Amino acid sequence: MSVDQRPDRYERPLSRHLCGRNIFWQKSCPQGPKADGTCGGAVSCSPVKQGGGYKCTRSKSAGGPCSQGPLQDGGCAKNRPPCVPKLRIRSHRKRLSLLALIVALGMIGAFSNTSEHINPSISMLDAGHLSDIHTGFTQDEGCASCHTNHNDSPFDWVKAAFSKNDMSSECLDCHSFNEPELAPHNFSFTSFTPETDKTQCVSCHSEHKGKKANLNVVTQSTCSNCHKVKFDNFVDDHPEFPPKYPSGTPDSIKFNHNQHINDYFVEAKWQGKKSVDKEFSLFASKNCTACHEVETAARKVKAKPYAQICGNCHQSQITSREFKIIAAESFTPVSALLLGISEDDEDDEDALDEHLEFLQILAENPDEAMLDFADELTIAEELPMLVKGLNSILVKKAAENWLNEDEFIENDDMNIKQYGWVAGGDDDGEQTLRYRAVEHADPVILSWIELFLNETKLTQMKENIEPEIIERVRDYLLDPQEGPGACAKCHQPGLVDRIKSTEGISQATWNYRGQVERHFSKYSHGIHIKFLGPKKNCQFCHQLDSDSDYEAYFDQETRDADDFLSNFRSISKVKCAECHQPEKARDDCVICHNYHLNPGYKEKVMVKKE
Amino acid sequence: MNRDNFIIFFISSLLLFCYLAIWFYADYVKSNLGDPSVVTGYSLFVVILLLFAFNLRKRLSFVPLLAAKYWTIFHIAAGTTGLLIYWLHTGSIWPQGLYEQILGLLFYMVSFSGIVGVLFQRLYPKRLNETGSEIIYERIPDVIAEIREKNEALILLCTSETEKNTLARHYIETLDWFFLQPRYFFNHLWGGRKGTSWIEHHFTLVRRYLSQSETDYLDELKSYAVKKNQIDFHYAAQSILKYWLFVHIPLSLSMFTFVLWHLLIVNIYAI
Repeated sequence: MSVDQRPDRYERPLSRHLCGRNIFWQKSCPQGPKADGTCGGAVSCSPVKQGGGYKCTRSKSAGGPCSQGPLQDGGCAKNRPPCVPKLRIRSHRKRLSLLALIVALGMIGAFSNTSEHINPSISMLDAGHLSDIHTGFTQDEGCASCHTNHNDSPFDWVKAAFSKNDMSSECLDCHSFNEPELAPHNFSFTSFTPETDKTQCVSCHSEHKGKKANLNVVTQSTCSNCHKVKFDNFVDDHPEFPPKYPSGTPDSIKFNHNQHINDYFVEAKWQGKKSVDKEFSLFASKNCTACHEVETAARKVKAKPYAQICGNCHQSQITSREFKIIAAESFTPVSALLLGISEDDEDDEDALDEHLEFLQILAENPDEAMLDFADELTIAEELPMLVKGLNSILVKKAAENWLNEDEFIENDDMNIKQYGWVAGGDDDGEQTLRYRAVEHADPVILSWIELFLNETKLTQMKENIEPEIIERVRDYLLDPQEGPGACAKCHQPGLVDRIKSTEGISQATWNYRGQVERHFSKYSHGIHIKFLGPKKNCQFCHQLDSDSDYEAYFDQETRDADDFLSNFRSISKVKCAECHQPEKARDDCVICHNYHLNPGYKEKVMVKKE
Repeated sequence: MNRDNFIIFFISSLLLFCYLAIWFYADYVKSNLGDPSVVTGYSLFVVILLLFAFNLRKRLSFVPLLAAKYWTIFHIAAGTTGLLIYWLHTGSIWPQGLYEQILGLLFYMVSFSGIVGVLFQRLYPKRLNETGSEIIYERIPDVIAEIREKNEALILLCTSETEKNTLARHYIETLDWFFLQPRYFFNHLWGGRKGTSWIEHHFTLVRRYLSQSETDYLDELKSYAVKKNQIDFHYAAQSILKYWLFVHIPLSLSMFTFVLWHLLIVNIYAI
């Protein structure tokens, strides 16, 4: 370019200022601004002393020494008005950058107050709004609820920055799980060793994702962190359900669905009986809801109360199976127990003498006699329930008659009949004192059975009585065919399990235990019934298996749960896969499986602060 | 493949490899129940430090640390990688929480201004080179003043030689506006030709009223106008190449301040 760019002029790119004349698009002076930012071009040169006078030092590029020469005082003769030098772009940029830095630091300083009075949403400590569910619990303590360093001094903050935070322990301050709480699935696995023995809550759950964030959303990839088997969808990747799913273990009540639905409810042989409610049977043969509470169906679909279902046909069996306590001329299991006589002694002369003596005592003072026996058997505490409603006059009168070798015949004039207690000739023509169950779950029968299932009591009894004698009473009580009240006819599985169990009363004895607990899976009948609609009834999943030998397991001397066969065919995963597949219904892990075991809250959450 | 293309390829491949390595490692950490955001966060911090090293390199121009153009290539590639790691780190486009949103906003603004700067650097240096002239930005006022002095000297000479003032009057009334300072700033940036059109129009307009002797002076004056127009383009293009940094650098500093704050807070509160 031919325009003169003044190549002789030295540029000072690092100087902070430019000649102020440039602002008005005028030529800058050769000297340029001084280092302090003031004008350096008010004079053309700085004359130097030479001999007795001064010499002009104007540069060659500026035209060389001027004709006027320096003034007498050594000043330059070529003066002009000074300019106001302007900052270079670089300097402006520096200033702006500094301003930006100050603004950023100012914002951090101004809005980083940890006071709980400061609105967290305008705080420079706000990492995002808490989920609604945690917002309420942090109202009192604010951030310090979970972040213990929040209210620390700046010095402690610096220390905290170089130490590890244990966020999981903060979570466990409020949340409780099965012990060990931080173990995978809050469970001590024994069948295998997990890859890690300690997990962190934040591995799956993260907070500060907004008010509406769902902390429980866990993707399949999260599960696959440990469960290395590839799982893309339920249809292809989920393993088949175990055999006999979901009814692979016997319940505590024996109920043969097959026999009831296909035989008892429909066959004339049974329907012809007076005690049978035919209308109910007909309905129950076609509708599961006749016996099952669908309205409250959750994981378990509970059976309706006894009185509404079983009682329609079985009530007479309960009231007709009598509990023989004492016989006039023989030993009952109970009288043998009271006298401490074993089965082998029954024909013994001495034993018969003891029996007569026993009747004598009863005839003289039955109340005292019962107390003495109770003391001897260490069951004084239980006695009132065991003989609930028994009138001692009835015992006395019956014993007196039997001692005189007379038959005892109750009549209304005696006015001694109480509750279910009866004395006199029974169905076998034998003179006995016996108890006849008044209702289902009769308290007297129940007390006798409970007493003989109570290992502690039995141990105490065994100190005075031979174990075989005690076993005999228990066998009598638990006999499905002859047992009093016919309790064991249906409740035998639960009762037998109770005997075998080392955990005692924690096992379900009388009530439906339901299916075995599956801690890591969840299922709701209710929602499935709702979605499947009325056209798909229970048989859609629960199909009766008419070939299944349900009774076989119960007939075994020594039962092995593995031999149990339910009345239903196993449910295959194909059934679930009809709906649980992409585009139809969710098929991710957490739709059916739980991670946590026994999730709950600790006292801190439940107790309101004073 | 020439050396420059090879270096571009090498740097881009290296950073792509680094990004993939970070991605896979974060995934590995996640699959081992660790916190992948620690991996991605510290990786992003390292990238940001490397991006700031570019500014350091400019300050240490006397140190032989590769040519500036390679640093520019690295800066651009690292900036792009940083943006990808940022998304990997946050797992979303827009973060939660005030300071993280400010940090996110600053990060996006710095990235956007960086992308705009890259576009400017791809466009204007090439167009400046096409003008065939070079001029130092700070000397533009001097050069314009010099052209104006030469014009005025030429007009005086014309008036005295031809004893006519038509050209002088036209200069004072019309052409002087053009020579006073740079004109058509934005039009030059868009690549417009308003300056050229203005020159053609006003020099053609006056030519019919001039004698043959005056026309020679007009032609010389026009050559100065054409040069002035080129300088105007230099001024506009170099200004935009300098002023976009007024956005990029201060925002980067603010962002870095918030990055350090974020680093401090997460170490105190979470990890």
